[in-house]
Amino acid sequence: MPGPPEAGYGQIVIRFLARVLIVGLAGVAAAFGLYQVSVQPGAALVHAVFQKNQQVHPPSGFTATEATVTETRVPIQAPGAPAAAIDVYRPRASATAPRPVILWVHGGGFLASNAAQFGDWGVLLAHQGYVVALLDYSLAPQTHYPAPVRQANAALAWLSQHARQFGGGPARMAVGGDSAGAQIASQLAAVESNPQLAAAMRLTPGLPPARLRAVVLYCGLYDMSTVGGTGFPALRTYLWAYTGTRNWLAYPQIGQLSTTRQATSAYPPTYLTVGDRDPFRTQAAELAGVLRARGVPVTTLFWHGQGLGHEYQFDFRYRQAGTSFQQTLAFLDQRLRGTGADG
Amino acid sequence: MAEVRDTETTTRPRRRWRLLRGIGWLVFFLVVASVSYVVLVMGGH
Repeated sequence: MPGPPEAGYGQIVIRFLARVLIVGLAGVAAAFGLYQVSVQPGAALVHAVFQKNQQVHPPSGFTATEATVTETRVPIQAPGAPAAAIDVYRPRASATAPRPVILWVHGGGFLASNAAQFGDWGVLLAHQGYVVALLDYSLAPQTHYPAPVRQANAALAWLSQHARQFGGGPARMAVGGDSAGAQIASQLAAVESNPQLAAAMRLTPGLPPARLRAVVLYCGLYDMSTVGGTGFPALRTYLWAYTGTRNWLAYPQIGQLSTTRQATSAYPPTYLTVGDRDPFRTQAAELAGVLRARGVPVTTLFWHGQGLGHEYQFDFRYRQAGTSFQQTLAFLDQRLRGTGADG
Repeated sequence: MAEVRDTETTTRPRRRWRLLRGIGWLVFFLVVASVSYVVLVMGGH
């Protein structure tokens, strides 16, 4: 009996391509399914990318700068949130007057990075005569909103009570942050100056009124209703992980995260900077406009035609990072070392 | 006996080839799924 006819080369190629197409589509479908079902793999992926990258490229001569600063780690107990910690950087040299205190909240999409990765930043600020506390807050998706805000508020309260033991003056305090940390810091400043937000979050502000004198915000997100339009990479993963809600826009407390909504005329003077190629540049411009409209003093450093990306402020290989640093210091100097009683 | 030996010598390489092909398709599937997932995560907003 004759066997089945041999398949021609054309048929073999078509059969192979069909299999490639079917298996490829199955791969895409599997990825899409996983993307819809769980935030964990995406969060782990972004976390791995952040943990690999160095967050700060300090300027030349940093080793000598580092030698002038000392560091202490302090645990922070925050009501209604897991325990956190602050790394406190301060100049080794003693001062005749209490030093202003800065609480810095690091970025990392709410789900990555830590205070140690921003240690060089703490050194750079402390070298300028500040007591700098870098907050190590709980990360998403293991811990959700509002834990980091609670922890930041508890850190402010702790610093207010204990800054003196580090040579700090609790009457001259500032908060700052970058990227997701800028969102947390901006919301913290809103909590300290907007009693309605504090009440809605069931938080007692960590500082007495007017103690928080300045806010420094680098490349953050401040309006949840418009941030989706920025096209920022992996934004959905960050906000799903942080809020614990896949459709984060439907998260019941999402309005609390919009500093553009929560900032009142009592919001502290604010310094804002963002790179001109950073997708969050519109967020910074929006917040600056809102704050100015409410009569809040705002200092901005926005760029045009420079090609500066997200977190340019920490890469001192670019001269613009040096400019940003100098302007940040000038702002802090004006707001924290100006007239007024010290604590 | 000679016939049985002939059958064994022809099916073994066929099975190995089929296994290798299966592994190849699985690797292809995983690569496509991984790349798609990374694109979805990084592009998601």
